[in-house]
Amino acid sequence: MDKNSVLDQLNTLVTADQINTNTDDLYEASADRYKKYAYARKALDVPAPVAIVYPKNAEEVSAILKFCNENEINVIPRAGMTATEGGLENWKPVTIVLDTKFFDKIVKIDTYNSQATVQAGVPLQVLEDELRKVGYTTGHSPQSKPVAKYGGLVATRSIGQFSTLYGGIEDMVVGLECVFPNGHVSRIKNVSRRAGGPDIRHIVIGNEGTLCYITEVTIKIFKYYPENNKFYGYLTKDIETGIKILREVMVNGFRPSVARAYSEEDAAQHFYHFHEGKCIVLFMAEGPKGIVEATGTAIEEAVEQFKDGIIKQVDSKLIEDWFNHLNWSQKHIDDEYAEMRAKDSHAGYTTEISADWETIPTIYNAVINRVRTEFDRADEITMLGGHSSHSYLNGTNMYFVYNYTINCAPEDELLVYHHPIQKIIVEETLKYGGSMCHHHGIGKYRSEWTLEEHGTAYFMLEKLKEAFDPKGIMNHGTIFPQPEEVKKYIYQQD
Amino acid sequence: MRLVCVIGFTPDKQSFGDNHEKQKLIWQGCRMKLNPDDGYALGFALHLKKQNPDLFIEVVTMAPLSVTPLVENILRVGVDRGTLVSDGIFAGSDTATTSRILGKYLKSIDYDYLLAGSFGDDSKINQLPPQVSELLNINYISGISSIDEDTFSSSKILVEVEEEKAMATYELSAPAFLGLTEKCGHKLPYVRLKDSRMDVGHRLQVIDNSVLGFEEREVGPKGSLTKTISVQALRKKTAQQRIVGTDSEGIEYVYNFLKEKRFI
Repeated sequence: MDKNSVLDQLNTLVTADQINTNTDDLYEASADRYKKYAYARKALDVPAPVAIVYPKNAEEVSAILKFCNENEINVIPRAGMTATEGGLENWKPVTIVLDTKFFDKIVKIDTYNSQATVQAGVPLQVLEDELRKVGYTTGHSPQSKPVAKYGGLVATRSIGQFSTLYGGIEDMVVGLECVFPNGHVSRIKNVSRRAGGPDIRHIVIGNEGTLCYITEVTIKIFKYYPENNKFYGYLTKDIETGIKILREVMVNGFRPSVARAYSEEDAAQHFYHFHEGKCIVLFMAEGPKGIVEATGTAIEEAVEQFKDGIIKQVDSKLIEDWFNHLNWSQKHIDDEYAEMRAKDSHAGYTTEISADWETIPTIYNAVINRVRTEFDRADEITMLGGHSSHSYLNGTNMYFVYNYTINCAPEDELLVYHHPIQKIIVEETLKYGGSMCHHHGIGKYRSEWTLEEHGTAYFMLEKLKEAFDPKGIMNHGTIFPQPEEVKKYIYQQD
Repeated sequence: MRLVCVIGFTPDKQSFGDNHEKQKLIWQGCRMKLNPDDGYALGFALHLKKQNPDLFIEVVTMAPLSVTPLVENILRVGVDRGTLVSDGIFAGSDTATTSRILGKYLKSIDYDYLLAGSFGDDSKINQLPPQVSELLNINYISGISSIDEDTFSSSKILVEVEEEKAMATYELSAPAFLGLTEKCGHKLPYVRLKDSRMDVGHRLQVIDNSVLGFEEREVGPKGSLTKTISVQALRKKTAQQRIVGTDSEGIEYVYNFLKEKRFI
């Protein structure tokens, strides 16, 4: 179906004000923050979608998806637009972006049952602000909190800075509503637990718009005790010491809301006013007073156990100040774009992976060594390091952070710099048995390793796609590898 | 329309060395780079070509053959022809002689406008455009911060020059030599990765003295009235580092420092 026919048909399904064909908006909708530099330089090399459509309810989503399914039109679900892995990037000449703009209602805040129901286009910050008024919190605080919306958070299996206490979004979602490509609307009810077969919430959580469109989410909410917060920070001799301290606290059964260990390079970037060229480990204990005190004692005991690796304690006020200024707002995003337009540089990239406690330092050291010795533009790297910021009983994540001077065309930046570095990170992670993707989602730019990530379990993922999206209209190229487009759009091999 | 960008290459300061004993510039092994302002002139020409693909752009430079890869990269971003004026007997020519050599080649070709950067990393480059203009008997304006693109297709163009207290607008007839500054705002694009091995040899010509026909006494050190006696790389001054704490004394120090430097 050609573009004009698609628009004509859309006009029969929704009103004209729900269809956006503004050129600038379509340009913006053709990619996400993965291609931030090329976007800022007006050098995006992917097709723009035909239209951005704003449905107002699940029935309209159903009608649009049915139409797209029947006519094999690619659909990219969108909410919040803070994706960083190419999940919102368009690789098809005829595509519709389905945006959650009008799904903006908080349906219910139920403090008695500790849950809240929101439509998929509700920004996390809006719900958080409402909950604070009644002494509650979402417990979810990704850096994108002021901008991100619930549909996107659930679709990408997002995680927040307080995850060690509250969990990732998968631990928070109670129930939801979603629409499949054949137009079927499913509601997963809100209950405290269920054992009626496999947990079908997880078909939706993390699907990155490749199986269905999320319209509503019910999540857990938590009592908020900001007056009890305690902060701890220490300079350490190496990142391994920091990781050992994180592990000690976790395996002893404590759950600080924040538990992080930084390499020297990354610490210098975040804590310029007190890093002293050393690694840093830091914590925040949160919750009822007794729990905070017990957690604080456990942190101090863990630090004492590894005191040979501790250089000194940091003033807790400095850690608290840093946390209070951690999230990036729309202004931060706009400022970064302005800077990218003016200079051949940006604020850098990250690649997040996970593994068990034993393996994380091995992966970290292997990656740093390979990037420094194998990457042919290693001399143009201005920053390379990492931090662990989400810990679990059996392991933690590693957030590799890197930046470089950009000495190439904006269209080539990712292939010249970011992708080769990311490739090394993914290869080393998979080699040692970790997961190549801790929380940003696979998007399009790690899809070439999806099969290796899941191994024999990829069979299950593949069958889900065949069952729910047999015509492959949902977010073509995301999660499920498309070799032709990978060659064309990632490796520039036409 | 034909534009000719007269460009120069200068030693990259990162690899700039000098021989302390002989006080002479060591050119051998010195990485060369395009004079930054010339890059803006080229960037402007390529910007015009984007809007008008029929526009023909030639780059002309006098340099050793070792800059060939740099000229090839300029051809890979869309310049139609590269002319490298190069011959062993031209080596050591001063600016006036270089202007005579380039002027002789430029007299032999057609063009509407010559373009170059107004300012050079190497001070000698600054003198070249006015000297060449004098030899070609055409007008030259330096310090151009913007050009009215709409006038480019007409017989006269309007250019703006930022002067000490005002912005002056000049009208020029072709042919003329235009000296642009970075304020024109069009950077020379990088070569696309997919074009980095594009064969551009057929668009590059080397003009040596067999074409220009100078006597040996007219060029090189013998034909130059000025001679370089000594060259030294500028040493960078390193500011003294002082680390202060986040206590009130440290904050006051930083505040006073910023005030002294007029940031506050």
